[in-house]
Amino acid sequence: MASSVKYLRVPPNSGSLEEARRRVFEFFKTACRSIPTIMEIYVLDDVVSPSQLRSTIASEIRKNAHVTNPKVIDMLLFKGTEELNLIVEHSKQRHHMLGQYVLGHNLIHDQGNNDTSDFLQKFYKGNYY
Amino acid sequence: MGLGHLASRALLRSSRLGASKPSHHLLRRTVVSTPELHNSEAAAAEAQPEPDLPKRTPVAGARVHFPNPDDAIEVFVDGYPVKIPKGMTVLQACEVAGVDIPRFCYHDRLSIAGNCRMCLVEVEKSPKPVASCAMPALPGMKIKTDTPIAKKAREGVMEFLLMNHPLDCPICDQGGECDLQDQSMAFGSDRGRFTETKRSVVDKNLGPLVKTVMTRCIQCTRCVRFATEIAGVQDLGVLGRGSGEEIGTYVENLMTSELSGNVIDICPVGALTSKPFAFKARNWELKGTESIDVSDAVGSNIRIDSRGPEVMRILPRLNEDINEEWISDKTRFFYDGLKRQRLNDPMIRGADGRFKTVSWRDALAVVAEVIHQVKPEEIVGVAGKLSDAESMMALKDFLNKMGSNNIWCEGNGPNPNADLRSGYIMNTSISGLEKADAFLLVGTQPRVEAAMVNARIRKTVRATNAKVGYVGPSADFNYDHEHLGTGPEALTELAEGRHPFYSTLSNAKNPVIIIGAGIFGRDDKDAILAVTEKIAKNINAVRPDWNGLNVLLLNAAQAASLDLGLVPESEKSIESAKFVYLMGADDENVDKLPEDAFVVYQGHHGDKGVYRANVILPASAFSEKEGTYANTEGCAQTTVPAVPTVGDARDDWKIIRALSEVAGVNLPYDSLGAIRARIGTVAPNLLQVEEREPAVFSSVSLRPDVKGTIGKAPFGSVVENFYMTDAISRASKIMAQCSALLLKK
Amino acid sequence: MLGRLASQRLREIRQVFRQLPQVSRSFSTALNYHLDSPDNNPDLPWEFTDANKEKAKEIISHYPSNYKQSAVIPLLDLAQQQHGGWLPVSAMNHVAKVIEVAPIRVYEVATFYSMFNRTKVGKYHLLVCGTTPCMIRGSREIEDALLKHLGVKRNEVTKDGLFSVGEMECMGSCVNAPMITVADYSNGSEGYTYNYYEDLTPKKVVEIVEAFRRGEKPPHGTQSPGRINSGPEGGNTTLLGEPKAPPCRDLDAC
Repeated sequence: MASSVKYLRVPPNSGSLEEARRRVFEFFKTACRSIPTIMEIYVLDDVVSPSQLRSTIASEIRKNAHVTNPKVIDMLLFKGTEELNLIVEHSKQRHHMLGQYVLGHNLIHDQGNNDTSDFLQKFYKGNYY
Repeated sequence: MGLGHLASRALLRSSRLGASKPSHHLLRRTVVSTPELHNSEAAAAEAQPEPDLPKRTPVAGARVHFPNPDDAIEVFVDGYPVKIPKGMTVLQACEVAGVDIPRFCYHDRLSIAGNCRMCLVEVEKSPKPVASCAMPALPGMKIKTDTPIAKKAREGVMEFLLMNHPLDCPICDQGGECDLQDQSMAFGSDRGRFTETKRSVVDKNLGPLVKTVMTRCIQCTRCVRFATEIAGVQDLGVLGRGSGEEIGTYVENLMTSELSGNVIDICPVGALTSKPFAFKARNWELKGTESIDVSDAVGSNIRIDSRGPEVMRILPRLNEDINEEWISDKTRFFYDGLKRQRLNDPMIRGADGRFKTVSWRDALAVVAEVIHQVKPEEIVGVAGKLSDAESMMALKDFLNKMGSNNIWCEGNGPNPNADLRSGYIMNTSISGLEKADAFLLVGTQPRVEAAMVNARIRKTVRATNAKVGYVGPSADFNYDHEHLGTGPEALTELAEGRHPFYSTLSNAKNPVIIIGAGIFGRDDKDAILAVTEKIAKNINAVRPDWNGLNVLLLNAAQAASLDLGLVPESEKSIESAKFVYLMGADDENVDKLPEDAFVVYQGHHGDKGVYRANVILPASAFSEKEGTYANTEGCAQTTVPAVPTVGDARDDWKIIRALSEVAGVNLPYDSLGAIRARIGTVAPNLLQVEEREPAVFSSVSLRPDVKGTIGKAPFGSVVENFYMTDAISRASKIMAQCSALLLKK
Repeated sequence: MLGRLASQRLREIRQVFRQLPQVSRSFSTALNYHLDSPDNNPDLPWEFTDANKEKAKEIISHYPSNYKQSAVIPLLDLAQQQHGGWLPVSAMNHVAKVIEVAPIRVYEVATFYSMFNRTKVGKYHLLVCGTTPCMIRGSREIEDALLKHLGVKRNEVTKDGLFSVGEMECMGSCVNAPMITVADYSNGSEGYTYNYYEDLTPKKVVEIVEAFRRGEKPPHGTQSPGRINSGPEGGNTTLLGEPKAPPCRDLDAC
């Protein structure tokens, strides 16, 4: 336990948006570099490919594309690093990985418009409603 | 006994003390729920002579059936009187009385061995404890199950069993659902006296499905009896003697039975476990979902055990009318196909011939556009063999709204007859086969087409020495049978009474004719059916009290599709089709399809159907959706979603419903309930879930005269490879191993 | 205190016993499963000889026609005599075919009974009784002498294929202990004998073996010159007079 906390050092705050942006890219690279390890320890070969996982990470990051406050970005980065650490340390189980990062992550995202019925709108959103 | 039960007993006593006070009457009502005791007089009359015994319920729903009311005898279990029919064993009497006797070797569907000695009970006036599983109950027997003698006997037996049992529960796959573990906790001692070395036994190779750790075996011989009696493969035996005794095959021999997986369930310890499931999960991590199997037309009741989004294993569920408590190996082990070759996203084939992932909106728009460009009669829909009734209903309604009536379910042949329900279901019902005393199998090999039906036939043959006649290509049977011929001419001989087997059939009290669904693809199908009906009429197989004329279907979707009337308008529609909607149909022959035809494939696996497809719409598999399936005897059952769908897939009926709206012909149902209401107007029997609705009219009297003549071509075998029949089992690695190792070449 | 001491002593004694090299309790064949070998595999043809076919028919006729499988033990015995004292897997398969059961049912019987040998034995299979009375009278020495003389281990066949030594449980000759049994397969099932040699010493047993090696048939039964069958050595010492007539009740007297 103690060892994992040791590595989670809180970095100094980003001074500018530019620095925060650089850090995000660094985090993305770190995450991408750990994908082979993750694939191996969670035996993900037959369900997902590395490139799919990479795009999942990218889409997770893009979810917060609208954030401009460097402090908020720092906080999100910290959470992301923590999550990555948990995953790499095998603190999660295979089905956590499958549920969070493999299923329901499709590359195509639908932009809804309102000319269709309620059913069709829900249908485009997902299978479960 | 639960705390609540104890409390209610205390309340009952206190209420008896002050029975005169009317206020206690209310209390009593909450305690005793039997209606006759609500009557205060009856309660008072009964309360006096009876000792203070709690009401007991039979174990595991044990039912008492009195074939002859005069044969009832009364025995006393722990002082509690219980009426049972003559011939029941002491153990069964205890079950009826609500006492669960520990046991290892006894299994109520196998013969009695009496070799584990775990079921010892004390019987008054008997000098020693009695093995209750092998001892018939006698009138007035006083059985005691919780006396010090019985407890000591069990403790001793348990100590002996554990002497040579390894202490490897932490690495044993049976851990958590192990009879030995449970019963040693309940009845065993907290220490053993055995200090010598334990024996070890060489593991046996029983094939790709059953993993053996023979050191854990306690020699209950359940697997030997199962293989001999139910599976009908005499491979397993008890070898050696004394401490060297072991279960084995003596010579190197894989267990080539289609039911071999069931030995995993009946093994009370971890000696026989599932090889594909080995070290994958612990049973307490799994979520069980009670569902229905779709790998054949039997509709075996199964429990899908899943962890997170993965199906981890499939186990049988008890259903006396369909699969008893067994399932076939395909049902049990094809689940790993659900994880491979799945279609994740909607895709459109580009100009370069490669599929490109698109959004649902785009995919549906393309399909809707194309379907409006072709003439209504050029639209064709084919439902696959795994389709549920809801999606078939939606597909039929959608295509009908588009003006086409060319829709059918694969496996039903070019010209299915859906007019008379008795003409395509198993009228005798699967459990009804047990009453039969002669079988005529026409062009069907039930062992590979419907393993559970075959198990029923074998059970009947074993129990009553029923005779089996078989017309078809040479095939592998696990019971005695008479091969009457390979082609339909044998049927003509039977119909004219010239064949020697005819006397067997006509002398039978309850003859059964089973026609294989393989003949649906033949041109002379109607003539063959007519000849078979003539045989049925001559041997009196169809009477008001007995309907012995059956069709054994092949696929899970077949019965429901015929119930819903999925009958194509023209036989040759696929040759002129411009728009083909394949709803999971992989085995339909699309070679004759015109080059410029537009093919939509909606399904869950990238199987044969995808090769010709222009648009792919990903759908959910049977483990991921709620759907109604009718089995070969016409019993409707529903699947329940056990795991979430893969990728961006949707339920089948929702896809068609959405497509109809995009195409501008809105289907009027938005929910499963609404679509079921629609099914109710077409085939109400599909809504009577888990209740078999027999066909009203028999086809013998109502079928129109047939003009065609019987062809000369011999019957073919429909299922070439038992382990690979549908998209899921073709994608399964385990099934591929099985077909490589176990199929007799 | 005393109890603890006693239990500790007991544990020590047990420990000593456990460290003794355990004599393996091997019966006729140690393995309960079959391993293919050039002289024992299911592909080898095996059939009863014509004479034995008649015998087999006669044996089967002792049983009701629907219980043919009851003949499994005598048929296996016949097959074993025919095949020089042991049962290859193809012989068991043939027996299974004759009595119309699955082969595994025959394997079950053949593995259960230690008198069915499933590995090769010598033409003279020597079985040393190892049960208590014989053991007290020196059966271990007899066995050691045999094994040393023949230069084999237990259940091994001598190089010339003549002898093999096995152990057997009590054969009921305890009065004349120690004893061995010689199963003689040298003349096929016609000349098959199964004789006891009793009152042995390590020297005598070697003499008997050598006599067999020369092709003689030494007289079986007790090897002690002063004894007739299982009577006491040097003539009877009790019950010497004429036995008295049974006492009858004088019915008239009462």
